[in-house]
Formats: sequence, C-alpha cells, structure tokens
Amino acid sequence: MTFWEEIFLWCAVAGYAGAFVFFLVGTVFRKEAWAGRGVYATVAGFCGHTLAVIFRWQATGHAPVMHTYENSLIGVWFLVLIYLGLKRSFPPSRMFGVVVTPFALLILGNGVMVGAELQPLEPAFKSNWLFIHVLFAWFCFGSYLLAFADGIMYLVKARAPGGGGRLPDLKLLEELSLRLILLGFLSHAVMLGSGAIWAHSLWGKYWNWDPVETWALISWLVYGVNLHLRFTLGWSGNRGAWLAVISLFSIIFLFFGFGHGSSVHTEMFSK
Amino acid sequence: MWNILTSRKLALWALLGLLLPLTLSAFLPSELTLPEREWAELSRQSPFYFGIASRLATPYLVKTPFFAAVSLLLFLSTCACTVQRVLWGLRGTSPDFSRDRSFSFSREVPFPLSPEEGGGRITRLLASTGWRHERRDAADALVLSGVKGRSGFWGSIVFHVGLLGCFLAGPATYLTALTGELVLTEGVALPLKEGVSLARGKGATLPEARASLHDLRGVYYKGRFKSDFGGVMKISDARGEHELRFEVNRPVEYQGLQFSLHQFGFAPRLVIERSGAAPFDFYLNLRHPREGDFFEVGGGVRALVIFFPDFIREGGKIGTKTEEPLNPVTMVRLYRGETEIGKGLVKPGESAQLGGYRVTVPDYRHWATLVVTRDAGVPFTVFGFVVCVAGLLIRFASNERLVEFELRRQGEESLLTVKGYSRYYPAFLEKEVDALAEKLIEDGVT
Repeated sequence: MTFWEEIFLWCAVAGYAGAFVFFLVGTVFRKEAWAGRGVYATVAGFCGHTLAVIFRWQATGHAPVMHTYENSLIGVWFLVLIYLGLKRSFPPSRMFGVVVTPFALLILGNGVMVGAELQPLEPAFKSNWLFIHVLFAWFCFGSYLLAFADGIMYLVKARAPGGGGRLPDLKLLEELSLRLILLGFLSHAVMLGSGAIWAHSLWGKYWNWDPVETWALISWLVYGVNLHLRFTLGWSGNRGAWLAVISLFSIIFLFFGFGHGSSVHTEMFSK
Repeated sequence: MWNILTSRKLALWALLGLLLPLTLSAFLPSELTLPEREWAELSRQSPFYFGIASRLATPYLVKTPFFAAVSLLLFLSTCACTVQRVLWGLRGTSPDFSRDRSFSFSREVPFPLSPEEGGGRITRLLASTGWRHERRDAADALVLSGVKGRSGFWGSIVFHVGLLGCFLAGPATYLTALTGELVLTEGVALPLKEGVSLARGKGATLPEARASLHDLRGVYYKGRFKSDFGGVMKISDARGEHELRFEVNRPVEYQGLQFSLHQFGFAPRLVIERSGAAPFDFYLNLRHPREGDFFEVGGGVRALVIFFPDFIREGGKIGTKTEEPLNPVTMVRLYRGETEIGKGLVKPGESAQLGGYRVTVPDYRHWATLVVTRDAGVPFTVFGFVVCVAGLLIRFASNERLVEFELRRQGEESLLTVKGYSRYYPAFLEKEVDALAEKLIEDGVT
C-alpha cells in the first residue's frame, strides 16, 4: 500500500465509521439531523475512498481488481456509490446507510487483513472480460446488499409501534426491494456470462464446477427462486422482505469463500 | 401432461430440487477444494465422510442421474412455460389482474364533467400518454381502461429463451467436448495425435499436424510476480506451417481446437554418462519447481532434479532468489533404491562427477503445458447469456399494468373512480394513478 493510499483509506474508514454512528443514533433515537450527518460522513468517506482507489491504480498501473484487498477496495467503492445513487433517486432510502456502512467497514477490514501488497496485473487478469466480470459482480453485490438493507427496514417498520417513525413508506420499500433484486439479478447474469467467457479463454472450459462458480450459480438460483416467489406466487410484504434478507447469505458464501479451498479462482495461472 | 409442465409451481419445485442438493453439495470437500495430499488423507482418516464427499460434492453430484433428471424436468418446464407464454402473447391475451396476484390501488374523486364529456377527455389522455386503451359501457357506468408495459412480458419470455440456450450448453458439451493436455519443450515438435493426452473425447478427431513451441517467455515483476507469459506455436500440416502467437488469456485457435497456456517451467538438458552404457540425454520438463522431479536414468538409478533460476546460498541453505534465470543452477541427486549415491550443483555448460556418473547440463529451455479443448457448448452458453441479459434488461425497464376509469353520473357531473393494477412496483403504481387522476381533474376544471 502506498503512503497516500493508506492515508485516504483510513480517511474513508473514519468517514464510514462516523456515518454508521450517525445513522445508528438517527435510527434508534429518531433524530433526523443525525441521519443527515450520516449522509455527509458517508460522502466524505467516499471521497477519501475514491482517492485511495486512484492512488492504488496509479501505483500498480492497473485497475484494483486483483485479489482480496483490491476487490474489497473497489467493491466497497461500488457499494457506497450504488447507495449514494439510490439515496439521490429515492431520498427516503438514506436510512439504508445504517446497514450499508457496517458492511463497508467489514469488507474493507477483511481486505486490509489479508494484505495489500502492490502487484502488477497477473497474466490471467489481462482480459477485458475481467473488468466486465468484476464490475458487475460488485454491482450485483451492492444491489443485493441494499435489497437486504431494504428488507431489514421493512421488517423493522412493519413491527415498530407507531409505524416506524421516519423510516421509508412500506410500499416504497417493497418496490425498491424488487427493483434492487432485479438489478442485482441482471448484474449477476452478466457476471456469470462474462466469467464463463473469460474462463473459456483462460482455461479452455466455460464452466468447471469450481467452488466459486458453484456458489455464483447457487446464489443466482436463490435470487431466481426469490423472484419466482414474488412474481408467480405473489409473495410480498413481510414474506418478500424476509426473502431479501435471507437470500443475501448465499452472496456472503459466494464472496467470502465458504469452502472455496484451492479454487481455480484463487490459483489462476499459478503453476 | 401439458398442464403439469406449464404449472408455475412445478417450475418452482424443479428449481428448488436443483438448488437444494447443489447448496448442500457445495459444503462438501472435493478434489477441487482440497490439495491432492489432503484429499488422500481424508480417504484414509474418515472413509465414511470421504465416501459421501466423493459421491455428493458438487463436481460429482452434477454427474449423477438424479441431477440430470431434475435439470431435464426444469428444462422441459421452462420450455413449456415459454411456449405457452409466446402463444398467449401472439394471441394478444391480456393479463387478468383480478385473478392474478397483484397490487391494486383505487381513488374516488368527484369529476366536474358528465360521463360522456369525461370519457372523451380520458380517452385523449390515455392516448397521449401511450396507454393501449379501450372503452366499454357497463350497466350504470362508463368504463375506460388502459394497459401499458407489455414489453416486460416479452422481456420475461426472451430471458427464458436465453435460459434454454444455457441449458442446452450442458448436453452439447457432454456430447462433443474434447479435453486434453499437450506438454511441449521449446523447439521440440510432436504430432498432435501422439502428443495430446486426452482426458475426454476421441483422439481420432485430432488433425494430422505437428506442433512445436518457440520463443517462450516468462516475465516476472521484481523477479517474483508473474507478469507476461507466452510464445509462438508452430503447427505444420498438409497446407504448410502456421505460426500462431499465444499468451495467457489469448489461446491459439486451430481447426476448432483451442490451445490455452496452462503451465510453464524450465527444462534443463541433463546428460548422464557412464562407461559402457548409452548416455541419458533429455530436456527434462520440471513440473515441481520446489520439490523437484524424479527421473529413471537406467541401471536402477533415479535422479532427483531441481532447477534454481537465480541460485542463492545462505548458510547451509540453498534456493532461488527470484524466478528469473539470472544465475541458473541445476541440482542433481542420484539414488540407487533409497540410497543417495551422489549429489551436486551444475551450471549450464558445466559438468560434475556424481557417484561414478558424469553429469552435464549443456543448456536449458522452457516447457509449457497447453490445455487442448473443443466444445460445442460454448456458442450455446454465449447465446444463452446474451439473450438472458437482453430479456432481463427489457423486463427490468418495463412493468405491465392496467388502469381503469369508471365514470358514474351524479347530476350534471360524475363520480370518477380510478383503479390501478400492477403485479409489481406498488409505490410506482400509486404515484402513477394519483398523477393520472390529478391531471384529469385539472383538465376538467380548466
């Protein structure tokens, strides 16, 4: 990690940590002003984060898409970008920050713990498909995570005495959840397709049943079932919210590698 | 049978039937998730668990008749549902929002015009805002309805057509795939039919051609991190010699075969001479750079060979400083049975006397393993995913919905009931119905 990258990364961490505290106070004590401060802190963290990404890119000479740290760095950047974009389009969704910011901190923390050594782009990563694959992977993760946040908000609002205070309206939450899951599902399909094409040029096989591939397919099917239950059986309301919450676990398994072992995704062209 | 196949619940159950075993199987270890040694250890230490894992972990589960049967059922169900929907679409069948589960919203407002005048105004409003509209006269009211977002329905169909393409990729691969490995030392030509060791497919389908590798390069950043690997593949066939460049991620394509660079290493030439015997003289493709590789040299003697590209000695330890051949040294250990009879370090162009053998390393080259594949499933996969994504884009952008205006006479004026139906996006529906009602009232007043 370069000096300036480290400085700005810690600025980002401080911004997201502060934002989480502001959002939490705003949600628990129903303080509107604190939620507003949470957004400002998120934006400040995001600015620092953007600079950290730029310094990383400049130092390595490639987009930060390789290995755990760089994926965490760029992934969280996309996650916060999607959150801020959503907040701009649907202002009531700003309270999602209470779920988004801790996830951002956890993912960044995991990346930093694994190691942030500067490396040139490995031969296996020199493919245009990689950028499509990684970009949509993080779009899908960001969308699903926000759908998860939406589901949590829905369940809290539906159960809260007095209608959940300043949390967004239930119908809006319901609609946002479906839109986010559809966006995630679409991005997920692009991720799977571009990954298959990339795998074919790299390994000669478009599908290996490698653990990461298997979990990517499982999570896509989970969200496919999710959408089928909503579209064909009309699951909505609390059931729809629970679906959005539970489905995220398949994504956590996918991105954080339960049982991945010596996956070809971790070995690449390593022999 | 048709009714069963077109049942949406069957599709859902089949999807779950695929998903649940796949999820459980993903928790089991397999040869893909465990190193070879640990996998063998598991078989010794926990035979029961190993028995389950070696049958039901994902790479093995997907080859079972059960998995094939559920996949087939899901394919047939998707196929039948898609055909049924296409027929509905071509017949122009509208969704029955009263029967389907959907969100609805209604609003009742007094309207300052008679039903006849109001009807004309509503028709114009619907036409100007892109609604497909119709008018019917009920017993006590005039009803005008509009439908929008039909493209979402077609988007869903397109998506499922793409899924069918992806489904077909599986059997296409199963029936046509050829997979093998070609290990070549730089500058050594081999006939493809002999050189390719096939894991799957028929060798007879390989073309009559000879292949060799040239100008192999392995570039490391700071001597440690892999940066650029590639070379030139020369293929000679009846039409002449073809020179094809390759590198990681840029495979060679030749007569429907793909050659992807998979492994790369050093191949020192080792000459072992002993009086009265033909010398052992080969380029040795070293596959295990850290542990070393054993070779039978004849006369009951084995040689363990390790190549250090950038030899370094620190105290009693030897190793390589970088991965680049800056100071290449070959370590040779000779064994008779389990007994070591000689060991030494030999630089290129030098010789050493080891255990009664003269060992020479005249030079070294590179070797590479190319994965050789041919797979008719690839076009299905690409087509399937492209169509899936296109369908989802259309589906995402469009939402089928119905809006109904009921006008009941109340003296000179009317009572207007605006109802909206949509299967998705309740907040959006509510907003849209409100906006239409307000626009009408505004226009009616002015």
